[in-house]
Amino acid sequence: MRKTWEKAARAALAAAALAATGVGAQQKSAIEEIERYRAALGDGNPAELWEARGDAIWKEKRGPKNASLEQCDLGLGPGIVRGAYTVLPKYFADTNKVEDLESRLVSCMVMLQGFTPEQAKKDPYGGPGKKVAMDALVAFVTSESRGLPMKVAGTHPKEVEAYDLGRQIFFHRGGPYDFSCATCHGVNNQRIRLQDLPNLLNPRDAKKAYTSWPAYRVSQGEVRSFQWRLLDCFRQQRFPELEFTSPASIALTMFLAKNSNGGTFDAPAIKR
Amino acid sequence: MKTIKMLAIPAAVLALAGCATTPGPDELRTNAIAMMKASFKEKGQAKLDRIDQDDMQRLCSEYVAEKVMPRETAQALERRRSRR
Ligand code: HEC
Repeated sequence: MRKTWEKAARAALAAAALAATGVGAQQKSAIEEIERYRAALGDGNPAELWEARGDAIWKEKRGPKNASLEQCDLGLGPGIVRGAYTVLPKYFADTNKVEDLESRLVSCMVMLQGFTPEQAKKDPYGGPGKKVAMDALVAFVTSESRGLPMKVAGTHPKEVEAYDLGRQIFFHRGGPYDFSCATCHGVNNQRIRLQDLPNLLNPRDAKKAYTSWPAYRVSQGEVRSFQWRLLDCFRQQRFPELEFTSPASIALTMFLAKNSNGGTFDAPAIKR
Repeated sequence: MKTIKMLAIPAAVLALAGCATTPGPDELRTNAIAMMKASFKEKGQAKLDRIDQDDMQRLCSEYVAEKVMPRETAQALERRRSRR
């Protein structure tokens, strides 16, 4: 864990140093970024704050049914959190759907706590001055899989279907720049604005990338979920806005998660 | 003879089951586009038609990874492009 931070910090410092060759505002923001990094590293990963908050929200009685999420079945049976993220996305008979972590949390909020789906999905991502339960729950649940190998089954017919559709979406070219995910993430050693782009079709990169999300983004001061990661990449692809827990987001997650099988899960991570 | 029959029946069943569960490339593409159209919302200039593809995009999305585009298809695409 230490190692990863150190590597991330070194990369950030190098990037910041390059940026700092500019002047004025640019230099100031680069220095600020270095400062924030130092602070983050000194105190450990700030994602731990989200994890702790998520742990409390998990146990808190909420919603019209005044129930906690403690009996939520995340894929290994009701109430089992340890290791659950390594088997997601997965087919769930009670909803008759393939669900990733975020959509499964929504289903549990609906089934156990009595929220409407709209209420459960209302605040998918935090922002300045706004901390949301979803980010915290995601941080908590994923932290309980740290150090474990990914083992997404992908064998139920609906899981196979989701994987195949996810692969299709990964290669789907469109939009004004004619981009697909593969345009940026299907080639080795590609970079964009000093950032290394993982080749998600290469098993080594695919494992490393998938197992490092969710992540605390130093530049944003937030823990970002995998749903957010996809939303932001579709934005870079100039597609319309990906809806939270939409079928395409889950299919794409199935494709990427299954391709990371065997990789050791190591998140919430800390990133630039 | 008997063994051949015994082998042939499960093989036929498997082949049928294969047809039923694995959609062909066209069906997969149609289903993926339908899924995408139901998964995005329009934002500013970025309308849902950004998911639509022309022939070039369709073929270039299909012949990926280990699947190589046949020479004639590639040449036909190039000819059409240069005529425009
Ligand atoms: C225009 C180029 C571009 C396209 C197209 C694109 N991405 Fe990305 N992607 C990036 C960049 C740049 C980063 C690193 C961003 C950052 O750190 O903020 C990234 C990061 C990622 C990561 C995290 C990698 C890591 O190690 O942290 C994943 C996973 C990912 N993209 C998946 C996708 C998927 C799936 C698609 C298709 C929907 C896609 N990307 C489309 C540019 C792109």
